[in-house]
Amino acid sequence: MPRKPNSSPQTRALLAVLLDRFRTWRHGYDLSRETDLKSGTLYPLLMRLSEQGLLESRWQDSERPGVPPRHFYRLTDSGLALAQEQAVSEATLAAGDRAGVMT
Amino acid sequence: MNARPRRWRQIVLKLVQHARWVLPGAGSPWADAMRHELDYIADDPAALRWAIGCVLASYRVRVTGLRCGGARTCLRHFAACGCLMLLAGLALQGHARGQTEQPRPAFVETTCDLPNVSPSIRPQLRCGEVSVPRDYDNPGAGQFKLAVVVIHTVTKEQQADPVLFIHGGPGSPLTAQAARIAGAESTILAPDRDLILVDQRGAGRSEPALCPDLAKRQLTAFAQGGSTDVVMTAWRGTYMDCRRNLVQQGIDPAWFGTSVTVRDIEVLRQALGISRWNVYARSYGTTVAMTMMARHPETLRAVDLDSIYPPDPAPLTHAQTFDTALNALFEACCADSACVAAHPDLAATFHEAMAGLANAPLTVVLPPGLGPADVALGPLLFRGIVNQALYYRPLLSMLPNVIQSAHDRDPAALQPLIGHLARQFLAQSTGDRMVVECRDRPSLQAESAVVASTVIPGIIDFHGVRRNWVKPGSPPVVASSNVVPSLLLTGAIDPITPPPFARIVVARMGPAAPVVEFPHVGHDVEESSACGANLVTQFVRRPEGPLSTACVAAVPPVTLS
Repeated sequence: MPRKPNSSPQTRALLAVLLDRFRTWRHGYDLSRETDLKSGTLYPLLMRLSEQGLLESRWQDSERPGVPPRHFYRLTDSGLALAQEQAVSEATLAAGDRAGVMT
Repeated sequence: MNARPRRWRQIVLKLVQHARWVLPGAGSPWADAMRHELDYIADDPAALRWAIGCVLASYRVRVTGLRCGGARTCLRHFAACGCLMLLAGLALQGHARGQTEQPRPAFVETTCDLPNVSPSIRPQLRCGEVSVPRDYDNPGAGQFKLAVVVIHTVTKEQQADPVLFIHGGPGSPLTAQAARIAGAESTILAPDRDLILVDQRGAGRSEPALCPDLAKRQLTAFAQGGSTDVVMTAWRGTYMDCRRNLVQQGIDPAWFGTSVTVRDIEVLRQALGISRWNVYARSYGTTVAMTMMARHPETLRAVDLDSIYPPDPAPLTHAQTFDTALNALFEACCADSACVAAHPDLAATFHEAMAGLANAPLTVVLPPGLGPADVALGPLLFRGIVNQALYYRPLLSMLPNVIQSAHDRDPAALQPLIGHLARQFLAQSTGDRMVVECRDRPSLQAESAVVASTVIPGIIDFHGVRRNWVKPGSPPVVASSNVVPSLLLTGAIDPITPPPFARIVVARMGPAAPVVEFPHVGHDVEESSACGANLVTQFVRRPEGPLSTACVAAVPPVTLS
């Protein structure tokens, strides 16, 4: 059975981190450290989410003079909706797990 | 002490360059994004891990981007493409870095249809064209031809690595000046070497002709006169018309910018079959050269940056750099007994002249052949003229008299300088300047930039026109831990790229890139100072050798009129 789009553990981890501070623009290295995803995994995900219109990006100047601009990311409205939907679903799953353990 | 970290960074750099090569087209901004992150990772092993990840990411995206049918077919495609790309990448990386499309670039020789070429210079010149993709993201969009001139050295001890001269502006083309450069500057810039000139896309004799009548229309707007607001509104109209024309011709303004020019230059290098070359870059050209140093360091033997224009954001606004240079002129006049005798308070004279021109513009007759017969000299145009004259020592020396003539409302005395600057202005590709600056410098589209830049024509935002032109693209960069031997030259009284600009670049590149600050020199150090020219020649001959800078302290003050 084909997997539901954007449901891999890596994508879910990334969406969860982006959701955590969804108004904040985040850069790649920061996301890599927080999700524990290597750049080889992270960037294809970012690119895919961006293509799907779930992620917006922008170049932002560094505060340090002479340091080049950096690429920043955050969820779009539809990305936010998906991440929230996923968070709700995971919370439900977690609740279900607990229920299962309990019975 | 630095050898080990430098080696690490070199390896890391090669890896991300490979990632960029694998990830062409729409993926290239992402490759840039991955590359830029490296500048924020101080820890070398972490940077190496990051770079390896970038390579994996690039292959992943490239391979999964291919369309395939069933699972088995897809797997076959994946395996085949992966193997092919690995092999191709390993085989071609050294030769085709940055190049994304077939066929292999070629230099197509043409006749040298250039002005002022004497019979003695002609044998030295080899003219031609190199075709580059209009849109690196879309090979089907066609190609632009770039105009190229190679000035052959006449020495018997010719060195294999030529010098590429990267012009400023943006939009100040070079190839039309080939005869002058061959006669005067080529032996300074390229001792014992060939000197290569290229007009960047959209400039000079290169395609596309970006609104070729734009500069003339803008000069005409000055001729018609009116308040500053009226002139600026007219200029805004010329830019918006230009943009409309481009769209009608199927030319997308997003096809321009320093990042694209760097890719064009890489195509040129391959077309000429050069493995490694030197660069002399001037003014805006230094933005291009610094981005080349970050993206293609292995292709560069030595880079000479003259009058450095760092990527966005510049440490000072143009209004600030202009005021500093103008105040330096006033101080220089006070320190010069002849000048102060003729102009006891030059600053007051300047401000009174500005007020007088605001009250009633002065009609100045232009030399024939420039389009309008005369211009209405108001405060905006006068400030622009003073700004241009501050660039170069010979014009700078005339400025006290020019200010006095504007104050005394003597148009005949102003006519030679204004005629000269009008002719220079018409040689610029002002459409190219606008499009490249828009692509490179998001800060110029900010509200504060609109206010700060309304003092100088040419740098003006024209009531926010930049925001309607084109969105910023992949920005120019300065490499951290630069590995290319470099020399930075800056003039202390430069009204557009003063020493603080060079200092922030050096702070980023590290101590391997020395900066030499020239007293009493404005823009274009090599052209303005014999000592500057001497340093350029020394450096190209021996980029790793000691540089004799004794002549710098002996640069004399400008003799003012």
